[in-house]
Amino acid sequence: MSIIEIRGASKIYRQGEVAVRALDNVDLTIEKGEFSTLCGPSGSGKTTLLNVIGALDVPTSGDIRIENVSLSRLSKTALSHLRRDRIGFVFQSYNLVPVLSAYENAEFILVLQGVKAHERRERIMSLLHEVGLGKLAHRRPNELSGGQQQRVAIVRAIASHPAIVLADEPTANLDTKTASDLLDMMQELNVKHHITFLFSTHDQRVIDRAKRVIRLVDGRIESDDRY
Amino acid sequence: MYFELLVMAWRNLMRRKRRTNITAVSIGFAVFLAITFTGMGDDSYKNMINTSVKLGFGHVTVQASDFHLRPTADKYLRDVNKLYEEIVGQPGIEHAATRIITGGLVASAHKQVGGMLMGINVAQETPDINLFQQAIVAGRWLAPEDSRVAIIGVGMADKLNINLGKKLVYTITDVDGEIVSDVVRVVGIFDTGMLELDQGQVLLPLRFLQHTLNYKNDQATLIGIYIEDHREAEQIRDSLNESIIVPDGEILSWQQSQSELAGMINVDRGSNQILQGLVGLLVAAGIMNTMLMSVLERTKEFGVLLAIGMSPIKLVYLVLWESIWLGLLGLMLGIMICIPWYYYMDRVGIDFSQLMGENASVAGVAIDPVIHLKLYPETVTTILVGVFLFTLLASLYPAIRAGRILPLEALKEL
Amino acid sequence: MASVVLSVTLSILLLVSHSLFAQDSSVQALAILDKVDNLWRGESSYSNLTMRVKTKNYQRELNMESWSLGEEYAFIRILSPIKERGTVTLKSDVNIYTYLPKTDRTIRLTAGMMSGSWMGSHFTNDDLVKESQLSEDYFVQYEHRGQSEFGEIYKLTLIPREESAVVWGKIEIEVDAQNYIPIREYFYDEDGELVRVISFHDVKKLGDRLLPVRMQVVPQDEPDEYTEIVYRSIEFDVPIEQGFFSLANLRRR
Ligand SMILES: Nc1ncnc2c1ncn2[C@@H]1O[C@H](COP(=O)(O)OP(=O)(O)OP(=O)(O)O)[C@@H](O)[C@H]1O
Ligand SMILES: [Mg+2]
Repeated sequence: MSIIEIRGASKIYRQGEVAVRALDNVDLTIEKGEFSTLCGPSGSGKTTLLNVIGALDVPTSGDIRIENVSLSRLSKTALSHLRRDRIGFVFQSYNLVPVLSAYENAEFILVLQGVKAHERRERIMSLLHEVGLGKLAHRRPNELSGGQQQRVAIVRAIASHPAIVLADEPTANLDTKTASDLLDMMQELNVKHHITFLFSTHDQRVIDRAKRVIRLVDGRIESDDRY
Repeated sequence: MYFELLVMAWRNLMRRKRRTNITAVSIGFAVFLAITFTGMGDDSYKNMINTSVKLGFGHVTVQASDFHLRPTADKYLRDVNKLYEEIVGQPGIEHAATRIITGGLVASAHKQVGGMLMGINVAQETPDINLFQQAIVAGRWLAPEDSRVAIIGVGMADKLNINLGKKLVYTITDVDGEIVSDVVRVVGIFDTGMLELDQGQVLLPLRFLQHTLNYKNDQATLIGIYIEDHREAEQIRDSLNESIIVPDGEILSWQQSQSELAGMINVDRGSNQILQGLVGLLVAAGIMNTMLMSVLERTKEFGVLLAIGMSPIKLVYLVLWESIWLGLLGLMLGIMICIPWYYYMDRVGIDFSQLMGENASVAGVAIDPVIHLKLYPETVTTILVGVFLFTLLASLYPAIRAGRILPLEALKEL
Repeated sequence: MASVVLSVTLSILLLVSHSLFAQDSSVQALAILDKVDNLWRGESSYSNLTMRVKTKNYQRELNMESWSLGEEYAFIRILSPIKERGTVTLKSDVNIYTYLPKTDRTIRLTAGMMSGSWMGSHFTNDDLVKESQLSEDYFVQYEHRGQSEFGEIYKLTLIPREESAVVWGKIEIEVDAQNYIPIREYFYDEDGELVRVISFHDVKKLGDRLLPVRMQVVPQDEPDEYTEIVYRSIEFDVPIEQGFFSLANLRRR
């Protein structure tokens, strides 16, 4: 079963007289367990596409289904729950709640979901260990490096067992080494836990490691290659 | 969930310690001001009321109907001795005293002045219920066997140019409306510090005044009743109304018998509350500003939270929790300031005598120049709850504003 | 007694002799007082008089006519100045009423108003009511017979009784020994301090009686002030009834 199915999605921004087609009739299907990359020049619609998939934004036309549920039919609350339960987000920066520790940040969604305390603890600690942050669990975001912060963000994104993790340029703010470490880690999680990843990037090395590269130009899918 | 929100809210608050502290201090200051204004007001009201009631009428007055409106001698209570016994047997009553009050003319060889005459049964009087008994500065207080004697104030002694042992002729209107005179000798002089009283009040033995007025032994103007807490006067009046019958008479609370004072207190209390309300509004505006700023500067953070699936209402709760903490912090600060302040005010007080000058009085009642704080538990609770609610109310708009953040817009600012 | 103003002025002087103690030395004193008292005695009277008042702040002169009946009733009406014409003071037993024609209102003076000045003079309203009771209020002592600038005089001392509602500590009276006409009255407080002096002048024959037609009250604390009453005419035993001294009559006159 495909996790995401996009049919004829367009997003048009109107700025006065000018209409910008951020997405132009996009068809896309993402299967479970895929590790895919969105790439394309700046302004090609990568962020717009991720937002539309993540139910943060609504396409002007077209249909988006996540696990066979059409987003256009869902209420605001349902969308909020969908984001909480089925989608993991990793943003470029300013990701974590500054007053919560690494552990608490990661735990937050589980708390929102109402997962029991001991189960939260088990899940989060094992994941933090897995990403090599077991010993730093108590630290606040400002006591962690950028890469460590992104790892916490990834733990937060996957701890809730989402259908897909969406990451918009997660490595953009990281140096090359850290970026490739993070990528290794994500790949490992992808393999080990069968977590589906979709992330956008400019970074050619990241693109090189992806199993599927979707290339956007002017809001259209120019190519979609699997390796 | 709420526990995590609560912890998170507390930590958010502590993130900006300085701003939080300033806001909490302003809340604490509001508590302090409210406690001080209300406590000082209540203290002076208590003093004024307790002084006023000692001039004759009592906290609760059993009197001939309408006497306080038109005080003439043809209005009197019958069977006062029996009535007195009935009254002192009632619960909640500390003291009672039978009195005759009548206005007239007081004269010496030198001068004549208008005066207020009060006949008292000395066996029923104590310094606690009779201001004049506390204030004797020369001669003596009345004794049970006294007859043709009087006690006057220093001002009157001065005006009439008489002293202890000298005579005084008073002219009053008796029970039948006839003008009658009698002569008495001054045995005591009081100094209450209140001009009007010191110049105009004469105390006489009840028996003797009854004789002059052609009253019978069991007739008098009123029975003044004294209770522990002036705030219970109306309640005691109502319960007395149920338990005793006063033929041709009525039972009044001090608010009715001393309506001028009650009115003045109400006006003062009202303006005090308006002032406090304004201070409250100012502080609330400050709180609202702080909370709004703290919400707006966290738009991105809140955007992330909303994006990852936190519901807007929980965000509202989060901000409200922050204001609850802030309120509690402010209250704690306020209490911490107020405790030593209260002890200071209780023991020392503020001496306003310089400001008020000698013989300060309002509605004929002396004000103690040293102001203390009188705090009733209900007042303190009201102030604390009130300030807390103000804080919460002031945070309502910022909280709703937080709930309205659109994640997409917020994330754009990344 | 004679007119009210007169009786007011002489209130203390005019004692009812039968009420006094018949003590040795006071027998003569009582006899003297009785004679003085009889000067003005009459069942009723009608008089015309002028009252002059001088105080620090103002000076005024009132002409009035006065009726009296016994000790209890008096009716005094102002004739001039025009502004106050028609103002009436009615004394009926212990009550005093004032009628003001301007507002057409009658006020009954309350006990508290008794201390007010009567018509702006050095008499209070209270002075007007007190006199009838005062007759019983003093012990009279004969001091001596002596000489003064007026010739031979009697000197009497009046001491109030303990229970008398009078303010004075002592009154001294000087009487002309020849005609039994009062010359001066001294009013003292209880400390013996002189409070006011009344002096009698201008003895004239009015009708069938020899009377001092002018008398002056001087308060001792303001020696420059005085109130003076001058009788222009007086008739005794005029036909007048009690009904005359009624509230209804206030307006009619
Ligand atoms: N709110 C908006 N209003 C108007 N135009 C918008 C808005 N958001 C995005 N766009 C436009 O839509 C197009 C796609 O933008 P988008 O952010 O998806 O590009 P991107 O591929 O993520 O670029 P980058 O690599 O620089 O992040 C751009 O032309 C952009 O200017
Ligand atoms: Mg982008």
